[in-house]
Amino acid sequence: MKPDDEQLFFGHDLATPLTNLHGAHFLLKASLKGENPAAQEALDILQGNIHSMERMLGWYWRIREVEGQLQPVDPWPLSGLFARLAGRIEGEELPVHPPAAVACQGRTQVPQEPLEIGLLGAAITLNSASEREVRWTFEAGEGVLWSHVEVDGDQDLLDPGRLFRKVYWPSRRKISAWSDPSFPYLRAVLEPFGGSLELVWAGDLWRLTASVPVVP
Amino acid sequence: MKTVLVVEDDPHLRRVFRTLLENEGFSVIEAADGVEGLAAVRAHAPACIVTDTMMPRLDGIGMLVRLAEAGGTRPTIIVSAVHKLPPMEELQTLGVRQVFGKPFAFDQLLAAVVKLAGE
Repeated sequence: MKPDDEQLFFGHDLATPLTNLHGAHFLLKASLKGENPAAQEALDILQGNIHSMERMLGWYWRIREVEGQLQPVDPWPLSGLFARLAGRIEGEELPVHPPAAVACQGRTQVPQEPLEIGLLGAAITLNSASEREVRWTFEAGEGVLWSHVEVDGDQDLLDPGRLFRKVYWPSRRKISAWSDPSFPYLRAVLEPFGGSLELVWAGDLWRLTASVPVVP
Repeated sequence: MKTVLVVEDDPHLRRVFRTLLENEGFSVIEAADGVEGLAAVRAHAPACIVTDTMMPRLDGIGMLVRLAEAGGTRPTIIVSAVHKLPPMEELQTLGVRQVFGKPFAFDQLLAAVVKLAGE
């Protein structure tokens, strides 16, 4: 599919039938008025799957939007990143605690919006996949800003192979659609600029480390 | 009974809107594109408009621009899958109060229409 066609397909055409499914579900549920538990349950299953489908398509499209598409931007200061992440977590009621700010004088050429979405999405994904509370910290280094998201647990807790698949559904958690586009998105945002994303098991915890390239 | 104009090229979605809004006590006028939407505004003077953007013949923004040029701006909610809309400040001059990206939560949209029509 040509890029323009693809944008129209994912960005517009698919959105209408998905909206209609939501609408039909809403009307059916309203018509039940709490009666008929079996039908109610069937509707809940429908709603859950509409939601999953919507998010899977959204993730796939978001990854397609950044893969091989991002160009360096004018360097912007990373010092404001932490407050913006905290603001989005609070504003969108995302299921992770805001990371603490660190002293960081550097700037980056990684586009700001995809970077913020990617960092948030990765933290939420680790939270959802582990079904445990995660700890999110930043660390400033020479020419790099590291984002560390950690979760306690044994080696069986996570399956990195699945988590790095492009469209993977780790949780039924209902949050704003498309706000957790998972690990492949952040990797696609960072790698063209020399950054990276790694998930490692460190004996008693899992650590997801994103390195954000910093320019002077 | 207050009238809501729904401008949407997808017939299924128009039906959903109609049922939803009629259940809330609104009178609903449907239009399948911006051209029909303009005619409906003139004929029915709706309390508010719920409009899609990407539509054949005349899109939603084009319709709102023409209404504004004619001094007929109405309180409007945009429901759109198009991510690149004009800035909100610009949309507000066309009467737009809120934008919902498709797919959206219908309970939130309904609450927004009730609020807007009640102003």
